[in-house]
Amino acid sequence: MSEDRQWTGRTDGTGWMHKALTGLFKVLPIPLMYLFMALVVPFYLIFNHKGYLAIYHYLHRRMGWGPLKAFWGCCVNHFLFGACLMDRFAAYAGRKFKMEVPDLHLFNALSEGEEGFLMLASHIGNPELCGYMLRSERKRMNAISFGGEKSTVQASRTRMLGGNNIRLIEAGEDMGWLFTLGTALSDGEIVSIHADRVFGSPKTLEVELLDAPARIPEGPFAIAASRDLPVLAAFSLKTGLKRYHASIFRLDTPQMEGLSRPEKMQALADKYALSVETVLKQWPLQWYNFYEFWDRKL
Amino acid sequence: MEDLKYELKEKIIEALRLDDLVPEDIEDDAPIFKEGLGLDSIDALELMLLMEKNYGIRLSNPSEGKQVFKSITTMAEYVSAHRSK
Repeated sequence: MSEDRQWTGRTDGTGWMHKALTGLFKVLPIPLMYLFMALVVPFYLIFNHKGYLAIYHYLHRRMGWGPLKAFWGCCVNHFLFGACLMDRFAAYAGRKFKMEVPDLHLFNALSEGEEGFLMLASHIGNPELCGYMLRSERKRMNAISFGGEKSTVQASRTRMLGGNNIRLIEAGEDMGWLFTLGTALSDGEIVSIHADRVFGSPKTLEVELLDAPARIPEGPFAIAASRDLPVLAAFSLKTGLKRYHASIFRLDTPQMEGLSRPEKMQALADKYALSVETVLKQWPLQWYNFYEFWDRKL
Repeated sequence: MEDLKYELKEKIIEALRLDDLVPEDIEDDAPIFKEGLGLDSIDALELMLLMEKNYGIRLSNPSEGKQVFKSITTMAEYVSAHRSK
């Protein structure tokens, strides 16, 4: 596993910048903040060349867009990514967003049961805002957040999500967080974890995504298969200034009963890849993995 | 205690699909993670599940858990003292 596949995602900026941004959202309208952000986007396109190229390759090779359309798509993708980040800080400042969740019954059905379950997130749209729309009265949700984020961001997340019966578990190099995660699953709680970026273990599974092989982390699928947990994939896509659409997919099926552990892991990973593909075909510009995700230049 | 250590080695090999190993390859006091058996974070979750399913032991305290998973010997000692199955 190459180093660039390991988790490096963290929010840019210093702690005081995050505090200032959250403060500004309390007084300034969101469109004005977007306008400021739009001024920064060209600098990211120029100076974060690797990220720009990764998105260009994704749109050109995987989505089959021509060079000009792919270039324009990169600009829009960066703007949308910035807007999603802005929305996060707006949420920290107490702003509300409207969520459309047509498949909420999938979440509610599992949420009302006795068993714990796994919710797989992705770097598509604005996964953090899922915490707004998917709340369970009965079960606590444990959201795995990856170490390295600034303490201001973590503190804001904890404040925002805490009221929704969500606990943040900060994953680090140390093994401690795994015991918290293991206990949460044994207690029948919900665990939400990103399933499209490798962290902590180099083990991966190969899936077919947009007609090319890609590698995703084995961990989330290993947990689900070992414990026979129900699995959802959830995505929240930005559809308007203050509007989001949530897509939810149930990944485990009765046909998976009786499969061996490795077979079940692969079957879940394949279904996860299919859900990602379904969402990307509808919202191609909300893919925010800013590195070469696919193995080969097909 | 020796039987329990052997049983743990068998269960670890089975749970983690360490197909190229036999129990005799695993030293009692060698570290389980990184430089020893080379296990990682996913494997730690599997070991927790192994302890819970086979011996009725739930490890929720991180500092205690890290001590328990130091080696086969520490695991066997803990299982012997705390098992409910």
